[in-house]
Amino acid sequence: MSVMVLDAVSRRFPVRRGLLDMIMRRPAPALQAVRNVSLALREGETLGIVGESGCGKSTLARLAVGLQTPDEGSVAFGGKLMTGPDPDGRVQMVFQDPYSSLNPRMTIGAQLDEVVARYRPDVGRRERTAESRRLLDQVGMPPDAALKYPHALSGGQRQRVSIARALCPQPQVLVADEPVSALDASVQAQIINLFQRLSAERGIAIIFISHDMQVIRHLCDRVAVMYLGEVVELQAKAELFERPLHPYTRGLIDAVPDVTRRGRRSRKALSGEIPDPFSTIEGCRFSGRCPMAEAACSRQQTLRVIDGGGAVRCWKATPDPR
Amino acid sequence: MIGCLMLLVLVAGVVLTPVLSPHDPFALDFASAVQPPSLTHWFGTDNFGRDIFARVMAGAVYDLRLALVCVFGPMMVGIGVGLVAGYYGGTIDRFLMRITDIVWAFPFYVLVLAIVGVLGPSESNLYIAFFLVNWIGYARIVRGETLVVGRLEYIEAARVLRFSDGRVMGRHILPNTVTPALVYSMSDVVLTVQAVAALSFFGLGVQPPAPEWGLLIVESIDYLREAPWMTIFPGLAIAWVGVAFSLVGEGLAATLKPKG
Ligand SMILES: Nc1ncnc2c1ncn2[C@@H]1O[C@H](COP(=O)(O)OP(=O)(O)O)[C@@H](O)[C@H]1O
Ligand SMILES: [Mg+2]
Repeated sequence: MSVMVLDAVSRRFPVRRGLLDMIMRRPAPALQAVRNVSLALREGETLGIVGESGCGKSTLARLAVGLQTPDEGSVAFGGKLMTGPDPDGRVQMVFQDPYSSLNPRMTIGAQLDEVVARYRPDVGRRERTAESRRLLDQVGMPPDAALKYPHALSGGQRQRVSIARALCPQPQVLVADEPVSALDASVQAQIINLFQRLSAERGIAIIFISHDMQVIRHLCDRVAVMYLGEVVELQAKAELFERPLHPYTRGLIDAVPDVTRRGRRSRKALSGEIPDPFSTIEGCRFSGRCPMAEAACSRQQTLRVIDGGGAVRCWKATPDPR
Repeated sequence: MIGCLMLLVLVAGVVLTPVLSPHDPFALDFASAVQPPSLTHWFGTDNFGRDIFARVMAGAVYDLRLALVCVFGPMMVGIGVGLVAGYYGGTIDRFLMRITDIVWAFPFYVLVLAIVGVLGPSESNLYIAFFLVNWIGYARIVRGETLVVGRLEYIEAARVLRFSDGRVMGRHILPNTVTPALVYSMSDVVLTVQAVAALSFFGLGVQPPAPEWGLLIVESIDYLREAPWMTIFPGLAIAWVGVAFSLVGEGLAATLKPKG
C-alpha cells in the first residue's frame, strides 16, 4: 500500500520579465523545476531521491509536504488529495540547512513546547517540559539542550532538534531534504543512523533526498534518480546499484570513488554541462552529456517499466547486465 | 547606555521640578523679567518673568508625549500592516502597498496644512496628522524583513506543523523582523520631536500659552540679543532629546542583533 502518491506533478517558477522582454513582447519564461513526476511512497519504506544540485529535489520535497502546490498533477496522502500541509501534521519535513531551520529567538525547549501544545492537547501545561525533554531524548539529545538557543548548538545537534520537532505530530511520512549535506562526515553517520532507527522502530515512511550516492546506498529501500526535473530511473536499491539502467545513473555511481572495487573501477565521471533549466528539449534531456547518445535520442522519452518492477526513461536501456 | 542616562536625567528633571526649582511655569512676575541664569532661576527668566527651567521641563511633557504617541502608535499599525502584507503576499500585499505608496507620495507638511486648514490648529490635530503618515516607514521595513524571514526554513517548518497564521506571524516572524523597526523608531522620535517643535513654531501645532519647546523658541526670538538664554535652553532641550534617542537607537541595534 502507498501512503503517498504523487501523480504527474509539475511545478514551474515564472521568472520576472525584463523591460526588454516586455518591449519585445516575449512570453514570460518559466523555469520548469519539476516536470511530470509520478511516485508512490510505500508504507514504511525509505525512498531515496538522488540527483545533482538544481534538478528539482527540494521543489519535489516541498510539493510532497504541501508547502507548494503543483501546477499540474496532484499529491495524495492517505488516499486524500493534499491542498496544503496536512492539517494533522502527519507529513513532516526536515530541512537541509540546520542553521535556518530553527527560530534563532526561541530556546529549543520553547520551540518544542509549542509543538507539544499543538499536537498533545492532553498534555498539561506543567508536563509539557517533560514531554519536550522526552522528544529530545528520542533523538539522542541531553535534556539541558532545552534551555539553549539554536546558536549554542552544532549543526548536527540542530538537525536532531529539527527531527525531534518533526516527530512530535507522529508523522506517517517524513520528507528529509538533504538533511546531512551540511554536516561533517562523522556527524552525517550519526544522523543517518537516527533515520534508520526511525524507519525500523516506528515504521515511518521516509522520502530521503540526497546528492550523495553512498548515503542513498546506505539508507534507502528504493531509489528515484532525478535529472532536470524528471525522474529518469526508479529501482529497488540493490538492483539500481547492481545494474543501473539509465546512463545518468551509471554516471552517478561511477563517480563515487569505490575503495572496495579498486581493481575494476571504471571511472567515467559525468562530464559536460547541465543544460539550463529553461530549455525545452524535446527528446532525452540527458542526451547532451550521454556517452551513448545517438540521433534517435531526440525523440520524446517516456518512463517505461522494465522487468523486475523498475522504470527507466531511456529507450536504449535493457535490463541485461552490462 | 549614555542615551538612557540622558533620558533619565530629563525625566528626573521633569518629575523633580517642584523640588528643584519651585516656580510656576505660568506665573507672571514682571519684577524679575528677563533675568540671566542664576541659582534661583537656573535657565533665567523670560520677558514676563516666568522661570525658563520650569517652562522647559513642563514643555518636555508636551513634546515627549506627542513624540512617543506619534511614533509608537503608528509603529504598531505599521508593523501589523507590514507583517500581513509580507506574510500573505498576493492581492493583500498589493493592496496594502498601494495605500502606503499613496500616503508616502503625499508631502507631509502639505497634509498637515490641509488638516489644520480644515480642523484648525491644535494638539489633537497634530496626532491625526502623524497617525496618518508615520506608520508607512514601519510597514515598509517590516514587510521587507517579512519577505526575507518568511522564506526561511523555520517558517516553512512552522507551516508544515500547521501553526495558526497568528502564531507564525507573532511568535516566529515578528521577533525576527522587529529589530530594524525598533532601531528606526528611535530616529523617528528624534525627527518627530523636531517636527512637533517646528509645526508649533509655525503656529500649526500646540497653541500658546503651552510651554511647548517650539513655542518657547518662537516667543524668545524677539529677545535673542538681550536674553539669548530664552532661546538656547529650549533649543538645547530639543538637541538633548535628539542625541539621547539616537544613542539609544545605536545601543538597541547592537544588543538586539541575534547571536550566532
Ligand atoms: N521559489 C523558487 N523560485 C524560483 N525558482 C526556484 C524556486 N525554487 C527553486 N527554483 C529553481 O528550481 C530549480 C530546482 O531547484 P531545487 O528544487 O532547489 O533543486 P535541488 O534541491 O535539486 O538543488 C533550480 O533551478 C532553482 O533555481
Ligand atoms: Mg535542494
